[in-house]
Amino acid sequence: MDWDIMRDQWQARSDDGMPVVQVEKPSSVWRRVRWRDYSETFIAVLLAPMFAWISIRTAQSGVWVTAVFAAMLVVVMIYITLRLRVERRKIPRREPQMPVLEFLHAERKALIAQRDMLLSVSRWYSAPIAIGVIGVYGGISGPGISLAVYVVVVMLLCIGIDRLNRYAAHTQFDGAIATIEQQIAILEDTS
Amino acid sequence: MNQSLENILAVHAPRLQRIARQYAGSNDWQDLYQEMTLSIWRGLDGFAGRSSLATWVYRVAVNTALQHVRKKPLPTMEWTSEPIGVTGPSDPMHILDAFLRQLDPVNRAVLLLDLEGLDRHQVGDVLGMSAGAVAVRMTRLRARFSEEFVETR
Repeated sequence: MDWDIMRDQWQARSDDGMPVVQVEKPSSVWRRVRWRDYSETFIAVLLAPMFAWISIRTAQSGVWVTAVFAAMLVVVMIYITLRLRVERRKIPRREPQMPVLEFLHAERKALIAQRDMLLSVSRWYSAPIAIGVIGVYGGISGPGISLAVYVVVVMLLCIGIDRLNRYAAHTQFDGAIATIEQQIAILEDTS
Repeated sequence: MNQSLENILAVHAPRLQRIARQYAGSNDWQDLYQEMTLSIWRGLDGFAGRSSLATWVYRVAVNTALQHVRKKPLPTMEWTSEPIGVTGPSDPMHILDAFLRQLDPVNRAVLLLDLEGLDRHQVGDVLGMSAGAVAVRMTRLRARFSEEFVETR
């Protein structure tokens, strides 16, 4: 077997008909991630003025608990928007024209950053919002059965979101990270 | 560097197709080929000529192919392509196809780049490995292929 002949035969292979290049393919995890970032930012931008208005009105009426928690929610909304931008900027640049090993390392870092962000969402996203809305509602309703029910519902919602995020981190990211690590190991194997 | 997608495809389309066929099933290798061309089109503005155009195109092709197999791993038994110009099971190209199919995606890329005629420095540029590491890998892969070739024939 002559390898040069194999190479020549290989390069002589081609298709008669070439597929036509079409636009835009449905893509990946990253398109969904970007869509979610935009929608979360949009919601935060929409809700912040509303809570600011609630805070001012309730402060004027002397409902201080609600006013304070509504103000807290405004801060949380701004924080979420900024944090999403900061976290996204930390993700390394990945261009398919990079050398394969470099690209794989960058892709791995990006996937790990996104997975960790997803896993920490309950700390910096769901929990502060939950505390805020419970405070706003509690300030208006006062202590009682309705507040207890509200707290339970909000907590269940937070737990549900956390579980869904953990599930998404596992199904969308863990497998891809493991595969990339395996590919990096193969490329870096010098034995 | 004023390259148009049309000019690039005029030269590289058959190469891209041969690579796409090795990383996707018979039903979706054309999708992978489209993804490759789309990535090339998107990245054209960023091509600064620091590497040769061929190296740049192969980087895009291999990175896109590896992303593709992460999203859609090939079933082990599936023929990755309808072999082109293969006359029978003892045809060297048939044996080569089967050998490529059983390699992991990364080593498959090493061998494919060699088959496409890139020297070890160019393969190293595409993959981000040293030329020496490529040479070692190539020797090992060719030796494995030779064994398989002798056994199959």
